[in-house]
Order: sequence, then C-alpha cells, then structure tokens
Amino acid sequence: MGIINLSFGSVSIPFKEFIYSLLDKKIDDDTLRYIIVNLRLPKTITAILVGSSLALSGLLMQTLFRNPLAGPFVLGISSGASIGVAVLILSAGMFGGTIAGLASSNLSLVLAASAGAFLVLLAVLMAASKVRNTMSILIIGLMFGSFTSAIISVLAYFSSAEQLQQFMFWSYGSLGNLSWQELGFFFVLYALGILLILFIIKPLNSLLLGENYAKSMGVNFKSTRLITLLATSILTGVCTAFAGPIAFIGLAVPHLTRLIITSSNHKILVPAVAIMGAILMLISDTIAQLPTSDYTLPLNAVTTLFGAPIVIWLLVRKRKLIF
Amino acid sequence: MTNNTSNIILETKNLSIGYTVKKKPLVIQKNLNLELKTGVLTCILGNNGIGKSTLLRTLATMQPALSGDVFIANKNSKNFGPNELSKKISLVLTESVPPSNLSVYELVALGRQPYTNWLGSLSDVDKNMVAEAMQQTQITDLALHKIYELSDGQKQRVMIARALAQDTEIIILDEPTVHLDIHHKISILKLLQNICKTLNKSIVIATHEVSFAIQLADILWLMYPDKCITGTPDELITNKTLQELFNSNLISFNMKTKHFNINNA
Repeated sequence: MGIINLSFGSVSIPFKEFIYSLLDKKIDDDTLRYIIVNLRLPKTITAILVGSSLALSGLLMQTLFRNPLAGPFVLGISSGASIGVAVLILSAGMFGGTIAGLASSNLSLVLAASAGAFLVLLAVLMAASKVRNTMSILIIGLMFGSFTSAIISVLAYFSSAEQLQQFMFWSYGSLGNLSWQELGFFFVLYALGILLILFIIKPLNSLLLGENYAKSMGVNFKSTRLITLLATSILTGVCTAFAGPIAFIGLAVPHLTRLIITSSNHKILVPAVAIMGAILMLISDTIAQLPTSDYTLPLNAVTTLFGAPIVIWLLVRKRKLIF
Repeated sequence: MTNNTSNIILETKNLSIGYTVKKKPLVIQKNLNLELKTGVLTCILGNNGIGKSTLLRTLATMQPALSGDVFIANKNSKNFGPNELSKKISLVLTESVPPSNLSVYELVALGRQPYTNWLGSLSDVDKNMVAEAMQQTQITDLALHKIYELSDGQKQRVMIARALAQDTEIIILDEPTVHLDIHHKISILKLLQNICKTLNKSIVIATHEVSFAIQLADILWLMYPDKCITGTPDELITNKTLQELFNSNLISFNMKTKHFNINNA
C-alpha cells in the first residue's frame, strides 16, 4: 500500500525512476528524484504514522470509556490544536505585523497547534484527577470541543477572507509539507506514545470487564487512566499539529479491526489497529491525490466520505456494538 | 459448624460504613465487628437499601470505611497495594460486563492478572489454574464461546470461574443468583458451597434468597437498620432473630419449615 501511495501524485513519474530513486541510485532527472525522496516518501511515512496514531487513540478511548462512539477527538485535543492554529492565523489580522509573518511559516503552525493541544490536555487531565466518573471526562472533552469551535467562530468573524482560507486549508487536513526534520520530531513523539501503550495493554484487557472488576483484579485504575489519556493526547496532539484535524480514522478503524479479527485482546488488537489505521490512511491519501489528475482533494473530505458510511453500516449491521 | 481447621481470614473492628455526602458522613451501619473464616460460607441477608452492597464494597476496600478498620490476614486493609489485595479477595458483582469479543477462556484467564507479567502472558501454572477453575464450574465446553453468546446462568458461572482463577482466600459475591430461574439459582449456590468446602475458601454472598441461604450457609449476617447480628442459621432461628428480619406484616417465619410464608389476611 505504501508503494502504491508513493507512486501516485500530481506529477507522474516513470516506474524505473521511481524504483531507482528509492534505492538511491543515480537517475537522469534530479527533479523527479527530489519529488520522490523529499516530498512523497515523507508524506507516505506521515500517512503511516498519522493513521496508526489516530486509530490507536480511538482504540484506547473506546476501551477506557467503554463507549463505542468514543474517538481521539472526544477529549477535545484536536479542538485545542484547532484553537491554537486559529488564534495564530486569525488573530494575525487584528494585530498584523509580526504575527502575520509568523502565521505564514509552517513551523509556527505546528507549534501553535501543539501548544493548543497541550493546554487542553492539561485542562482535561486536571479535570480527570478531580472527577471520579469516567463518563464525566467524556462529556468535559465534548464541552471543550464545543467551546473551542465557538471561539473559532468568533475569531473567524473578525478575520479577513485570506486568513480564513489559510485556516480552512489547515482544517482540511494534509499529510504533505513535512520536512525530514519535522518527521523525526513526529517519530520521537510517536514512539513515546507507543511505548506508553505497551505498558497498559494488560490493564486495558481487564478494563473490558468494567472499572470495578479491573480494580478487583489489581489494576491501579487512576494511573492506568492517566497513562491512557497521556498516550492519546500525545498521539492525537502531534497528528493534529502536523496533519490537521483528520476525522473518522480514530473512530472507525477500531470497529473495522474488531470486525475482521474477532478478538478483544489488546495484545492482538493494538498491532492490528495500528496496521489497519496506517493502511486506511494510505488508501485515503491515495484517493485524495486523485491518481492521473492534477487535483488534490482535501484529506478530511475523503476520510469522512468513507468513514461516515462505514460507521452507519456498522451500527445497522451489528445492532450491538462490541468493543 | 466451624471446624477446627478454619482460621479467621478477615476481621472488622468498629467498622462504620456509608458515604460522604457534601463532606458530611452518611452512616449506613456502624460498630460492625464481623469476622470471616476459611472454609465457611457466609450469607448476608437484609432488606433492600440496608447496606449489604456497601458492606461488601467496604470489605473489598473498593470504598473507604467511614471509621474503623478491616483486617485481612491480620493486616490492615489500608496497607494493601492494589495488586496484593487482588491476591486476597476476588469479586463477582451485580453489574453486567460490557459487550466485548472476549471468549470464555480469555475472560476466565483475566483472573490470573495479579500473577502474570507486565504483558499478561499466561505461564503453565496460570493455564492450569484457568483449566481447573473452568472444570470446577463446569464451563470447560464453553471455552471458545464468546461472552455475548451465553445465557445469564452460564455468564454467572464464567464470572465465578474467573474469581476462582484469581486464587484468593476470600470470594465476595453480590447477589449472584439474581435474574436466574430456580434451578440455576440452586445450582449456582450449590456450586459455591462445594467450592467453599473442597477448596477451603471463605465465601461471602449477599442475597435475597432467604430460604436457600438458611439451608446452605454456615453463618448468616442479618442486617437490620441499626445493627448486624451474626450466627448459624439454627441459632438465629431458635433465638427468633431471623423472624424480625423483614419488619413487615405481609410475611411471617415458620420455624418448622424454616421458610417465610405469605400472611393470608
């Protein structure tokens, strides 16, 4: 899938050149080589990282909240990232000058998104330590989401069409635009998130029986919940920062995976969901490239166009959602 | 009734149970001095809302005591870590298990979690314990079935098997026979009695099945609004404590048949 994804793009590249540039052999056309190595390869790797991160976040949230409709966005983390970006881009109009200069750079977008995501994460974690009921955290996350979209509407109302467009482009989601350096940073955080998940596979399995049973089997529920929230926040936060708020992968992939491999054991589910997420993200991105055409669709439109019917189909077919 | 080999495994000292509402304690029961022994089947009887579940939760330290202490194997339960405690007490709760793809075997094996490594891999010892627990509860044939395919009675057996696999000295069950027909009620209770005797475990059951409890339990804990009286079923019948359990003119206790009967006005 990765190879197919690599080979499609707005510029068509002959197969031989494509293979050669991957294998680091000399080819005649330097431009083609540059496109493959510095644009398409990072994009494919981004797709794999983003897809698996979001899917894993969805799995964690669904198990923790024992709610089949939970996803990585329920904690309001992506809304936090959105508000970071919105403040940066949209307030540029109000203050002009330096902020406008900042808003045009890619790195500052990432920083703004990370800061926003992190602030919301802190707020949610603080709420989580006060609130006993896990369901309340879900609702608090949803409230953060509505709250931030309201702020974004206010900001949008006062900003120029040009800035609005820039913000819209970010919110469409895109896997491109990552340099190798940014990708390295992404990967470090990704590895950290995965490492955290490895430590909670066992307690997650006992959480399948509910909070009380898990506690009776020796699970330290508070620390498990903290690690779960932390891992989700890191993975979702970094994805949203680099690729924009990408919808439906986090919600739909865990369900699809459970449908294919009928297991609830997280030792099997975690790798399966990660692989499934990566594959679906690569497919979505390949479709978004519209092979053989010069146009590129917004990534979010593609994931939603496919994700929404899948979730509806799941609900209609299964009746009882299993998680 | 209590044979010589049985030891006290759990003890409460001046225990008060209840909740904290708006920073004020809401005491449900106070001054409880109770004890559990190994190889003894204890049934808790009492009206709805009298505090049976609260008492069980407090014994299992899922809920803090308002005052007083619970000692498990002569050690204050406040000093137990979650993992250590899970090797002493296992639970079967009234709450239903969320739907999942777990198989019967996987669910029973979850009971081994206190003993398994950080990834939860089962060793040969673990596998033997799981197999034994499933055999005891006669669910070996169901091993590969999914939980959502089971009947209520089978589910209850699976949950008991999981508690057995957890290999604890105390098993606490909150209304294990609710939703079951009379045949399955008795088969579950007989199973628990059998486990209690053959494996020398201390089993505590909160139940509304008064007549079954009288016949099967070694010790009864009768919970009244202001006190908790303990004793063997025969003692409690002879000293007429049992008759006052349901302060109602709709039923009366027949000492000969050991049953509550409906009063015909």
